Amino acid sequence: MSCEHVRSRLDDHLDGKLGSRESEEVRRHLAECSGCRAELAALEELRRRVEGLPVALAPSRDLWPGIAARLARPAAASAARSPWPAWSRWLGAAAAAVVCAAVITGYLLSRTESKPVQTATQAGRDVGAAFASASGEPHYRQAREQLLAALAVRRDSLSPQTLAVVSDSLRLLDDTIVRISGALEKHPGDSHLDRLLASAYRQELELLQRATRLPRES
Amino acid sequence: MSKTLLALITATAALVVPAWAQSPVHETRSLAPDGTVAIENLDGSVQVTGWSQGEVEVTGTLSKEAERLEVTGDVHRLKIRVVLKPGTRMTTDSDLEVHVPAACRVEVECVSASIAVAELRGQVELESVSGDVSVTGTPGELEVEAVSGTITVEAAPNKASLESVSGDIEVARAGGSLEASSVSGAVRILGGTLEGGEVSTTSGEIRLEADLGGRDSLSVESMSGGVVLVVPAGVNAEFELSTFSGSISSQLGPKPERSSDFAPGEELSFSAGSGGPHVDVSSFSGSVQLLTR
Repeated sequence: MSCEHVRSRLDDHLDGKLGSRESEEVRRHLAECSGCRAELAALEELRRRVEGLPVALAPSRDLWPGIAARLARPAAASAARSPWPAWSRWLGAAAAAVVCAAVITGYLLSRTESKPVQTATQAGRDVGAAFASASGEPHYRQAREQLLAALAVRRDSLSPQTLAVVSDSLRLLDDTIVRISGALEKHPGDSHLDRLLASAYRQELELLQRATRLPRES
Repeated sequence: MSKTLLALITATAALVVPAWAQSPVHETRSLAPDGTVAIENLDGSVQVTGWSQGEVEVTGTLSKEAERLEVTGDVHRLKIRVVLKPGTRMTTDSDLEVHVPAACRVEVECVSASIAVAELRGQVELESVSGDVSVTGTPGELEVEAVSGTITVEAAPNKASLESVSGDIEVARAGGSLEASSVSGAVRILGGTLEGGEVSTTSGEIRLEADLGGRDSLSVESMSGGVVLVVPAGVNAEFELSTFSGSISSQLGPKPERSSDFAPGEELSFSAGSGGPHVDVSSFSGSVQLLTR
């Protein structure tokens, strides 16, 4: 059994979904291969981190249903149909969970009054605005760090070209965030800048979320 | 053996090997008119064309690294996958040509393979990392994701979502609500009618030449890329344009004003004609142009 095959089956291995024969082959391979053991350990660690997310802070489903839908939908849809190794799908779903939890947390902490149900687009903007507030930014940073960690785990499965595109884009977005933040320091309370900053945060998290669920390239 | 003969043999071998290396495929399966076809291929190309028959036909060639073409599922959902030989990493091209019932749902996922779909009427979901994606005809719904590949759509349906990272997005004819976003790629909507939606980039240019219709708001946002809107001279819409440090030029409405005494940006809000959809254009440092045609 090759390393690539074993790594594509690690998620099912952890879930106990492999048949007895395949499960035994995976176990034998893991006993002899330190690289695949490291991969397994990374996956287990990622699962632990995601399981530790503040699920209790998620709002009830009748509160702004667009929030979860907007941020979770792409990854969930992909997980349902993705043909790629199971654990890469799991990473995508995990990343989406991280983003959702952090976004919702950030939103709840900065929310001061009840608002009616709005469209998903508007909800996304307002959640982003929560990020732009002082109380929301730590949650953006937390989500960003978690997604970067998830991306680091699977960086070997992406081609150098794809990694370069993702890195360049992240750098561009980071630079944009720094520039808008700098402008906001000079012009505090500028609602236009608030909105742009929120949008840049959202774009960065969405890019990271996408990057963690790209198909395996190598 | 003379050098000339040796060179001839070598050249001939170089020509012949690829032909041996690729193997043709031909598979046919029944599929319900509203069934789903999911296709996976790493490298090469996938071309999907709708037809009136109630079956799926796959033809093409597999690369030398491909072990087989796997077709699984039933009349409601078929999965077509190029299975690589064990231990294979990157591959040479496998090219698939797939005919499907025109109204069925189609899902295609590739890495560097290009995707081209045509004459489909159902829901279409396409994802490629570095391959280009092109859509001809008007699917019922359309969702496309790419990273560095370009996305080209001939006629977007009423509901379409197009996302890229560094690749450009070009829609020849918009057909309703549209979400299009890219980080550094350009977004160009060259015709048709936009009825609300969101178009955004970070540094890519945005050019919208579609008519503005419907009642839903259209949001256009760029951080450092320029935005150009080209609208009919008699357009009916509510415009709200703003930029923090860029400039605004408009062939409609009053002159742009400084947004504040302390900030370098400009803003411009006005109602054109009898009013209509709200068009919100926002940028950080990119210029904003509103032109008439």
